[in-house]
Amino acid sequence: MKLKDLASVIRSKNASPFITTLDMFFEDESNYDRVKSSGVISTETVARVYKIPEASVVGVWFVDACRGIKVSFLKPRAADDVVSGDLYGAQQNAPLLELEVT
Amino acid sequence: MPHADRPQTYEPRTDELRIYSATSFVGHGVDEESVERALSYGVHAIVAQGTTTDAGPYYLGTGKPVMAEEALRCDLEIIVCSAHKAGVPFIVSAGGSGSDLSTALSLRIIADICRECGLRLKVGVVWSEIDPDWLVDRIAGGVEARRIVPALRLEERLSCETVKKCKRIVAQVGPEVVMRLLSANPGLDGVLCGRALDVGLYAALPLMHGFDKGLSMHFGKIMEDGSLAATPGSGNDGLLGIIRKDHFDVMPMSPKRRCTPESVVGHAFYERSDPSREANPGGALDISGSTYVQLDDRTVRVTGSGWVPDPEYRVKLEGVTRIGYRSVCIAGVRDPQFIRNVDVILDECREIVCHYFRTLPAGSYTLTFRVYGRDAVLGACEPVPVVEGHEICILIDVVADSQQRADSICSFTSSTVSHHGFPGRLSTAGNLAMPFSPGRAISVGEVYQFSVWHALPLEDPCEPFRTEVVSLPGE
Repeated sequence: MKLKDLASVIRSKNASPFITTLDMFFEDESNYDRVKSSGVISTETVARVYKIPEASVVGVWFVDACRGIKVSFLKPRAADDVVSGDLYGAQQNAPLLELEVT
Repeated sequence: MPHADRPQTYEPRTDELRIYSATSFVGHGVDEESVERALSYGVHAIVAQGTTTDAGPYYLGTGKPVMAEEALRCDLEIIVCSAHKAGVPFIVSAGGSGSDLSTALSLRIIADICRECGLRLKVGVVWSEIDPDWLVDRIAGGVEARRIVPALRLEERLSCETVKKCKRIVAQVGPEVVMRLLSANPGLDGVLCGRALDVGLYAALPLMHGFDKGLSMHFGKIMEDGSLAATPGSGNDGLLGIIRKDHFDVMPMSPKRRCTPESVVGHAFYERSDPSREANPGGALDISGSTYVQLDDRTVRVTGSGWVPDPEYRVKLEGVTRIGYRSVCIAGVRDPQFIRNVDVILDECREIVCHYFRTLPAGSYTLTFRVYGRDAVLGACEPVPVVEGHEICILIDVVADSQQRADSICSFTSSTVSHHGFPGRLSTAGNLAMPFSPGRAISVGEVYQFSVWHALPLEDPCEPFRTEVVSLPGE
């Protein structure tokens, strides 16, 4: 299954002009558990799909209370950089959508 | 939740404080019916935040408001008049960036509202623009302002040179500044801040009344965006919060919404890099051990908010530098042969432009081709950096050291791409479809970047801020 078929929300936004933060929420407890236990959401995965160094990944958090996963990473280009294409960072979620969850 | 008498003074309350968060942002809209309902709960203050860096550095650079003036007027009128009607203070930040220009605009709007509605108000004003000479003196005197995010663009320690190059610098008004204004001026009808720590606006009154620090800051964190913490969320509706000794309750006023543990915890995620811990001036909010319980159908009770004090109080500074002027050309392409060759064509055109403007000093302009349909949104992070569709948009984006020069480079680039030849070309009359006139070069104006994103240690949290109490509407 792909992540987009298991999550009810997969969104991105700036947490400052220098950090992209990605939130995933799951309506279904079993989908959340499945993604969490699969280990697919990790520093390594985020670095790979966004083509950034692992050191740029600020953190990966699992918050059971709201069946939510958060990932934050330092942007390769700040949101206000002359070549940046996403001022609010609201369209940076796509690389996660097709992730295979085993 | 009980109805209660509306207190007219700032006598310390230890039982509970009821605060209404009117909207997600001053200018996004305030629901009048929800405010009416909130007033029936006997709220002790109406609070709303309206400053941000989300919209980018342009607004701090130019001093222009982020939201339209009309939208500010609309929201402020409901907030100011409702607070007056209830005999409680309003606490707001407004105008967008916190530049003194935008704070002055907000103050003028409140004065107009007073005049039109026949109100006489005493309002505390906190100006958040920082005197660069004061900051330079502090840094030269050995105070270290360290960057908040390890981004390469930011100096690890803020230098006097960077401060001097800034067009404008603001500091985030903390709750202490609001508390001091309110305590020193009993009977104040409201407080207007420039750039403020959002959380601090909602935490100020609870802290002033001696409520727990971690709880008050967590309260602020959930309250700061109005009913975005409810479900369905809304950016133009409010949230009522009641804080007590060891917990707080939140509920939306609109019967269309409810708070659930998921909606409230989920909101803690929003636009924050870490969902469990948040750096604040003077310490960090730790909500890793917090619990969220559904109290009734629409109310959530929050407990277990921790506060980890820092040895020093650090205020966040935000400053911008002007890096040039922008000119853009927006152009569509439908020709399949052009689209197939787009990478090569744009590389060749860039070479022609570089050669044509070869006498300009190195680094005096940047030319960016943003190819929508390929990788314009994700840039280097794009997993599929090729064109798969039948139509693309090329945004020619030039930033140069004057508007005239940016326009000139953009215009030349546009005509170059439009008339560039390539193998198999059939549409020899032009490669670009411009949607409107002006087409070749649209003057966008000044371009800014954040160059200050640092935390400055302070002995006194109020020190950098100029405050005053004004009688409105005034003369």
